Amino acid sequence: MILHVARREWLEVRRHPGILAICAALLALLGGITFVALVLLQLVVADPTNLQTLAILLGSPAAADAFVAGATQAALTAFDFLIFSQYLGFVGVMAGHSLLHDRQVGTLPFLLLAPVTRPVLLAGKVLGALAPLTAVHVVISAVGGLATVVLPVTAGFPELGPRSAGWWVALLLSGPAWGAFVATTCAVISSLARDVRMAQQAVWFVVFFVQLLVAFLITGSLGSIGTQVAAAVLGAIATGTALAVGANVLSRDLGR
Amino acid sequence: MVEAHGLTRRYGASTVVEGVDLHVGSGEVLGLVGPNGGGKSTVLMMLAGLVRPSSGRVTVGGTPAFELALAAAGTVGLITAEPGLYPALTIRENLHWFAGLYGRAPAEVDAALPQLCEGLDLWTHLDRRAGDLSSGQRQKASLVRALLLRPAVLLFDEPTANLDPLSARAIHLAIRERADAGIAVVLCTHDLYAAEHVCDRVAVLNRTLRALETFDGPRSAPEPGRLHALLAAAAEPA
Repeated sequence: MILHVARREWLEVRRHPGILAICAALLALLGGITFVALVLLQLVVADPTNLQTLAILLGSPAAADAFVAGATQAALTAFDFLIFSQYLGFVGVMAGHSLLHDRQVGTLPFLLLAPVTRPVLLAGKVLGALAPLTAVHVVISAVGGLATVVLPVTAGFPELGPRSAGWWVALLLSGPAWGAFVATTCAVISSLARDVRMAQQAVWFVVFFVQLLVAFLITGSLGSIGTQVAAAVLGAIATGTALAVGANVLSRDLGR
Repeated sequence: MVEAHGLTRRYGASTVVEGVDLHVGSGEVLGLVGPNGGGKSTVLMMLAGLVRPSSGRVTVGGTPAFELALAAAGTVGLITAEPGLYPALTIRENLHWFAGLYGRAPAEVDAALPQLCEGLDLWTHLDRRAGDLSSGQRQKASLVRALLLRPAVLLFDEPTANLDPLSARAIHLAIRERADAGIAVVLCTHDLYAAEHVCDRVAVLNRTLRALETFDGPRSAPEPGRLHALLAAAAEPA
């Protein structure tokens, strides 16, 4: 039944592919900008004349090397943080409109009249919002990450990209686990909100704090498999708790 | 089939419905009329088990209304003024999806559709998006969705609001036909002509139950202006 509830959201996404296209476009843009920046750094490193010019500009060859290393690290770190944080933002917006959409188009009474328990209804809405965006996030971020590996300039920072197993655990487990938490919390918000603007404000509030947490937990320690697995477990626990609390908050009483 | 005793609903300090007693038997159409804000829709939602009474009790076929969804799913069919269909999905997809919530397979729904769509001029619109259809067509689809579950009770909340006369007549005919087939019907409406010609009894509501008018057979001519007079009297403070 969870899949049946989710399937309705997927049908909607199929009818409005722009919902996914915008998320895909942003992630692709982030990957593209990062790749271009890294290609430029690679060109600097590959040509001794460029390195010499940079050394003259910065005062010493050591300063030029430090600049290239710092810029490479910054580009990779920014890419990692942005793909994970923007994914959470898109998930929040999508889930934050799920049950509110039902209220707006008048389908909520018919959902509540059906033999669907509140945890199942909530889990279906969460899965419906989460799955398509997670698929887009994983595919585009993986392609973007793998593209950076072909550039030798990134070899000095294996923990910040696909060379690291921790990065893959973050992409496939910890990110989606925290995405599920955001989706659950925002789906509950959508069930309580009577107004789209109110729901959006509340979603923004939640996403902001989860992004900070994710910056610390996920993108702050991509090189460590142990930390990433712990982040994934923590995300799963947070999601389970949000589902349990949310199922009690969701009311069958339309008069509330 | 539907029993309500002492139904009361308060929102904060405001009492919207107070001490309403109702009974609707199988094959009977009970009309609910009254001024705007008189509590008709609230009563209907309490009968559907979607609004919990502050006090009082509703049972449908012996099951408390608020437990219907999980204990006796499909017993009650609901048709609201807003058809409640997903606009991006076709009518058929909507029907498949909602019936799927009750464990009905798409093939089962498709098999039932020819008979259910009869007389509703809906057959040719099944594969069009709900958002592209007129209010009348969407409302007919909403009626078909309710009938797919073979309910024992049908609750209509102003089903013909904003409909053209032909669509409204089709809905009224369908209501009467279903009642004649043994379904208990509650029809909440502002349309006094429909109330007089479709219903067996009409309850006049304005927070409390102000009058209960019984017609001598659904198709007999009611006393001219009788319901209008009752409604005007109900609009006065109790």
